[in-house]
Amino acid sequence: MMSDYAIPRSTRDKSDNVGRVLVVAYLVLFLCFMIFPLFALMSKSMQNADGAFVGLSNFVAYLNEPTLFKSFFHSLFVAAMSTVIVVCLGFFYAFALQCTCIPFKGFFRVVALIPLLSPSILAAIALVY
Amino acid sequence: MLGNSIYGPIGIIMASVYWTFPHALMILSTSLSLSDARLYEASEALKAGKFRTFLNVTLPGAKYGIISTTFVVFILVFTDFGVPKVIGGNYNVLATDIYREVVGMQNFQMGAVISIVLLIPALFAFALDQHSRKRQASQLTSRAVVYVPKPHKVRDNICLVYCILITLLVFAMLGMAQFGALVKFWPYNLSLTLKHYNFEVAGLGWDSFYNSVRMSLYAAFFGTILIFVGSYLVEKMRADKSLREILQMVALMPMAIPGIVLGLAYIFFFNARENPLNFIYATMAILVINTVVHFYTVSHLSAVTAIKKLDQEFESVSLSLKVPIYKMFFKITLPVCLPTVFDIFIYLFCNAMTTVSGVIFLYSYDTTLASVSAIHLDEQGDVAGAAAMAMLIVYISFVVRGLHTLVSTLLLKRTQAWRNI
Repeated sequence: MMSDYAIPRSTRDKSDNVGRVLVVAYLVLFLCFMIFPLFALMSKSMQNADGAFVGLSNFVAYLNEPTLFKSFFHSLFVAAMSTVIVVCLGFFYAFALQCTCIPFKGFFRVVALIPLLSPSILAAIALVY
Repeated sequence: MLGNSIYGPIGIIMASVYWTFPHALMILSTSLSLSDARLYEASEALKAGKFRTFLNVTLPGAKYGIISTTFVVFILVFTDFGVPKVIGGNYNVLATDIYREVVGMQNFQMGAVISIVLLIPALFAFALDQHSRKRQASQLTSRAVVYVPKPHKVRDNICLVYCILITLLVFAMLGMAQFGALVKFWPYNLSLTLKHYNFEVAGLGWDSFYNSVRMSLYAAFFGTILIFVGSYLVEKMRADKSLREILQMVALMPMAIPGIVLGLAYIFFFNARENPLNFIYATMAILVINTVVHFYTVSHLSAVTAIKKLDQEFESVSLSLKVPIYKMFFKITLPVCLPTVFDIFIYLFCNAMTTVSGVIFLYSYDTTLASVSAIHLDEQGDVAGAAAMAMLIVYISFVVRGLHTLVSTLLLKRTQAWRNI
């Protein structure tokens, strides 16, 4: 006989099963809405316009197209430059908020988080003016 | 500027710095807030100067935060689409190339190739970041004392001036965009008007704004439920450990996938006629799903952190008292974690309002979104319209954020009262 304070087996099994089913359901969702689309993308990159498999020849074509390949270095360049600047600016701002005794810390924190509420293109549009 | 046009790398870098700044600030200020006061005392006892203390205590303490910020900001800028599209001019980057190949030239194969070229460095940076985060875990011990800064006139004044400067820059950007949206014809006729809010280009007007709000509400509502239950499963379910570990791993993946790559992947997968899920193509649902998946990871991680704080004993007790798990979930877990649930909701809402890269390929004529409209208005030369739309997004995000603060302080007074006992 089961003692009074032991966890009844039936309850435990039931909740375990529900948990298992739910975890599997999540995995299926991720398969459908993340993994499979990425596979579709990968297979598309190895097809020609008619949908036939052409291996890596699209990638070779890409490397042989200097105008396209140049963009890769453009991306690297702007990302690297922005990163260096943001880390420096952000570090001293964080330092000011955390390691000094300046007034209005709450206000400064809120202001610095405002860009989160705006689309990234807002700054670009503002700079156009 | 400096003999160069703002259209090009300089503009991209300036705008990118602006929008990634808060992301950097959040990580960096967390890592600085974890500094141990005992180290500062030791440094003072050893007669190290202020600057030496900064170099030998403050900087090393924030080392992992700095590394993490570097990777995060790098990925954000590297994969960003909106900024280079608006201000890049002839300066092409990978994300704008994908867009041009797919939308401009209908060359889907090349779009897919560039997507993979974009995906690989992003995955690589993500893996490095995960690796460095693992080593950071045990830095702060339970004996650490929270560091409280002492006044130091010169340093404090410099920092205050610096903060005021950044604040002014943030307001200047917002002000400029708003001014641009209100001016009749920049820079020739500076009288104010509201006509840019009429959005005369067909299909890109107020409808797209309402669509955006609807989409963001759906994404925030369903996303919060899905993500919170998902992280609860990862943390608390006793079913197969390996299954939960797979789920945890999969939940981290979206962070590494650039929005524009995910969007393109969705076209290829869901537009295929033989796909039984084809019916969601060109509907609101695909936009919502894409947004939730795209922003899954950060929300998942904050939910996991909140749930981790709850003792495992709660589940054991509830089981032995024959209280069903779902009751336990609604009576204990959910109320205790309510602040985090609200945070996830607002995070999803704001990101859904502002995202461009994920949804640029997926909207249809009936489901245009505000952020996408802003891009197209700009594309068609209506910069003032684009500015007006962008500012609308800022205002609605601001209002919702304000509501969020109000509701959560009211509700939290009830559900979090136990914390003060």
